[in-house]
Amino acid sequence: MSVYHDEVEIEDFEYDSESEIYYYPCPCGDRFEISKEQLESGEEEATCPSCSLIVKVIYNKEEFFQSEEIMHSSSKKELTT
Amino acid sequence: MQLFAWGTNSHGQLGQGYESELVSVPTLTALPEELENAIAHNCQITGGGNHSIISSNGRIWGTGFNNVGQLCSIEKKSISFFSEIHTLTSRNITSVACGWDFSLFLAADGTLYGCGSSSFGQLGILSNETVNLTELQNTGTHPFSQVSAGLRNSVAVTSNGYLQVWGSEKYVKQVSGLSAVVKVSCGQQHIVALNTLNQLIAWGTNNHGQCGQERLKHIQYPSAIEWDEANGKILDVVSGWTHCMVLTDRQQVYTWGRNTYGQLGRASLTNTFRPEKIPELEGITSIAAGSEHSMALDKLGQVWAWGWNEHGSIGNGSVENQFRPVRSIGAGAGHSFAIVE
Repeated sequence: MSVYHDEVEIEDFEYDSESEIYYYPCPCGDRFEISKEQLESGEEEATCPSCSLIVKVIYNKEEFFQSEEIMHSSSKKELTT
Repeated sequence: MQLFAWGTNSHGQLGQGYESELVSVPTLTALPEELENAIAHNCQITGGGNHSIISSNGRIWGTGFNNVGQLCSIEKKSISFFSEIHTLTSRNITSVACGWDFSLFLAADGTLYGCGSSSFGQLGILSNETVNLTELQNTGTHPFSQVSAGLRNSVAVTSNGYLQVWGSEKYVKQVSGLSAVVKVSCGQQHIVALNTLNQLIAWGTNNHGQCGQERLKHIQYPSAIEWDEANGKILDVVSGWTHCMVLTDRQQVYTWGRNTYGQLGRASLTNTFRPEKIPELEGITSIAAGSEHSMALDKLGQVWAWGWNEHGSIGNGSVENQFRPVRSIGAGAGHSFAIVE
């Protein structure tokens, strides 16, 4: 079991829609990161590429899936219209 | 005068002329000649997430990450050596504060300028675009006299002791009614202030005791921190991300908040909500805090550093965390920088 540096709510992360990665500042200067794909698969550890610190991402997995589904279905609608 | 720098250097924030993961011993920084002359007289040096700024005799120099214009240039090009920020030259800047990815500049007349990211409103405007240089509006009657910048917040004191707070309100609420403030410092998600009555006041996230309160995880309104008057008069208060530090007129240092990485400078690793003295430190004249490390300068010109050391921020050549203050080579003041005669 990892010892988390911090627990951070998903809404405090900044989302890069191009890379589909969520970022939150790490005290070393770099950023903790976790991809949308990782979150969808139930992953909850965001890691920093430059140091050993790890944060636990606080998010409601069910809600996350639901909002994803809504987003996907709405974008599909846009495509079909 | 010489400038020494150590710690994280991923974006050239140490001004060494190159980027590297870390520099674990104090290393001489090559400076432009006029800056070398300027720091001999008057100098303030501070750092943000990945950038560093020197304020000296009304002129400003910066180095490091500039991806969102935190070094106040439109090109957004990062640099790895200190170079003058000419946009600010005529504005008579007297002090500077660096946030995570933004910077604040206070002019002699009390006008406050900011540049960089304002995506949380930390520069007074909510914008996802880079802010080149903006003036932060003063809603009070008196000019600003001191500023501090945190992760997603900015805070300034006016000359009549009132506070103004900008940025994310999720953890750090705007305040009203707080008066007689003489010094303020902004952490990751909290603000700590010192007033003329020798009282410490803090609000925001308190999950490590950084607001000086025992129980609540979050302190919504400014609340007084227990301070024993017998400890003396507080001269300065600074905050790391989740720990705080004060310097007293007895030249002693008290710390509280998070101690996971030894930030509090004690043998034990437990967090404390009550300010406690670091016994080894006597004759201290100046203090500074990084995100998870701390520094103190003593009257003999010795720098003491302790806390998180994964990127060599302590400057002792190691990457092990330091739980007690260790003597670091060189002397001076600042955020993992030291200025040496």
